[in-house]
Amino acid sequence: MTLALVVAFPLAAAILIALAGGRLGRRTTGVVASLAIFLSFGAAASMIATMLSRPLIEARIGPWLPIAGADFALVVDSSMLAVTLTITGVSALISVYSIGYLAHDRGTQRYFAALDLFVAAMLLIVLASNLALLFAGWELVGLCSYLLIGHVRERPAAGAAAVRAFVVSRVGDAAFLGGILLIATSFHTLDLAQIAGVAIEHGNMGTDPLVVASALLLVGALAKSAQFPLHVWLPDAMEGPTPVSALIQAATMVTGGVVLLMRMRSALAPDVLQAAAIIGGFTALGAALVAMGQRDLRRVLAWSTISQVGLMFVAAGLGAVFAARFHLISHALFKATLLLGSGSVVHAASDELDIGRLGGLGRRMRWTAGAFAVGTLALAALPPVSGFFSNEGIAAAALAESEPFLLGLALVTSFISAFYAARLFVLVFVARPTVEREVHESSVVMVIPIAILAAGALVFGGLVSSGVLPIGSGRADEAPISIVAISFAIALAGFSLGWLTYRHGLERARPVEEVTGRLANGFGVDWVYRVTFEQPFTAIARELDTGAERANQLAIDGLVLLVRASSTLVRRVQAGYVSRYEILLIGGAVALLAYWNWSAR
Amino acid sequence: MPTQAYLLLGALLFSLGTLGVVLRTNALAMLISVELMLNAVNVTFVAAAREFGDLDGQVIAFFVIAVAAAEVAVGLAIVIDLARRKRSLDVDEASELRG
Repeated sequence: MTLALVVAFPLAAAILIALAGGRLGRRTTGVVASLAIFLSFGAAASMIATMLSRPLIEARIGPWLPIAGADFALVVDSSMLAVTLTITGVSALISVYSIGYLAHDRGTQRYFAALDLFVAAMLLIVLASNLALLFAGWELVGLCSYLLIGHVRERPAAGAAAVRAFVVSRVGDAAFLGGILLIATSFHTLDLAQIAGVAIEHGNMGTDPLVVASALLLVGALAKSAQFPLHVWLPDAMEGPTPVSALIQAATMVTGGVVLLMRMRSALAPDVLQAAAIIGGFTALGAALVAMGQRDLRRVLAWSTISQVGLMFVAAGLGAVFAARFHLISHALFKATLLLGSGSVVHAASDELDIGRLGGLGRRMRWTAGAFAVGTLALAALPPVSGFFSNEGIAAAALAESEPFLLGLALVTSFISAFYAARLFVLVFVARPTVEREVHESSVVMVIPIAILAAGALVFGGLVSSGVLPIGSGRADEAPISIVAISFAIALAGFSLGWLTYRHGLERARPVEEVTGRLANGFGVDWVYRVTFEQPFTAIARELDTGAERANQLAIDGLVLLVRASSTLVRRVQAGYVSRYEILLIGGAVALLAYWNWSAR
Repeated sequence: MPTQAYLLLGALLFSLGTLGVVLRTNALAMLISVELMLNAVNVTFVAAAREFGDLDGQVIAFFVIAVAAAEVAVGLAIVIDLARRKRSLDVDEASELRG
């Protein structure tokens, strides 16, 4: 039952805030929201002891759909418990941070209700025992991301980004639902364990419905995790408040696809898993290249998220579930640090987002800069920060599965990641500022969560790698010392190169920027979407809109014409002359008599 | 006299009355024509009563005479009112009620 509480706390808080948030007051709303997630974290933590003696903890709350396994039921093993703790812990800190970040926002009730619902929905994805309940969480995550990205109603860009995220998710959701229905019809169960059992019974021979269903589920995972070609919503999603971006990219949402792959690894067709790994590898490299040329502080981080989640797909696709989970958790910690840090920067520098116009913030915002440095080192995969260990785990997994191609992709990605991580940090905190401005450290309520997350990002990797901190079943592939050395050398090279290039600000690095800036448009994927979907659909919608207007007008005009014509015809009869009525009367009588006469015959 | 002759007379009178109502525009002439139509029907009723040796037709003829008296009373009142308003007995003058 403790397991049910994990989901129930944020869900209850979401309902409470949605219904009574107006009376609670701004500050209390945030406190209630954060407290609920902390309680959820506590409930999850209290299960660690139970976990030691049992492999699985289940909670069946009640029946739901009339199909095997589709109940309100939760299940957790040690691996997913680790993910649950990450999600609730990071979300709780983001929620606390939000109290400070949205101190002057008028929509706190909306915000915190959606935030708690978001966390509850994500927990459903991680904990649901069957695909039906998982899909409910999946859909709620999509809804909440829409609500939160579009939180600032006054900004049209935020609304457009929210719609975009929603529509792209929808494409994935449709495929996902198709996959679920196919599994339900061919396997007659939605229970995850049973599906895996049936799939293994089929000898994983890649029976056709299984392959198709797996492919559909993969499309769903790609959309939720912002992988190519369904990644286009994530960079735009940065229009939302920064804590929302942190929530989406670090703790919830984008990791949903990875969680799905991990939970269904034994059920999915091997070819599809292979495809997931390859798509992930290419996305990782492509997104890293795009991130290099971004000027917007938050977009650098968004593209880096796409890239890092791509690496998780590589690991999960290769079956290296431990490596994928390790990177998921370490990424959640350092990406939350970086995003909350960037929010702090943006707050302090009066909404300046262009990294070419920031700079020299290191001395004014020591706490934020320190935390950001930890996050940067993690993103660059440099020791002793967590990113080093988890990146190395992925490289080791690729090597163990003898996938030299994916290994190459991962290593090149880590070089580029180190490069743009250095670029970002140097330009924002170290380089001489191009514009003088008053900056100040953010409030305590914002700094403390960043500091905690940074501390987590700092020590987490080492603790897991040395075996002190367990994160569930399985273990990392033993990394040969050569791989460790090579990946360290590559990361260091990328980082140093980035640091040296941008040491004196963006101006001095203009030749490099001209090359990388060309990549910043994301290989024209945005353009392709605009030309193939947005423009035709907008045109059709507009045509339908005006067309409907025109048809409407035509119908109304026609009706008017008809009434007018028939009335002029009928008016003649009503001339007011008695004799004419008389003729009509008699004519009518004669006609009736004639009719009766004939019909009687 | 055969019954057909009476029926023929009734039909003739009825047609004449109808023509009078339709063609004349003088209100009094129209009233007289209506009277003619009613009495044509009376002739038919009485002829039928004689043919079948039944008194029902004669009874209805009396009813028709009574109704005709009432009709004339109402009709004359309308005619007088028309004459007062229009200073004329031409019913086509009174054609305000038109579409």
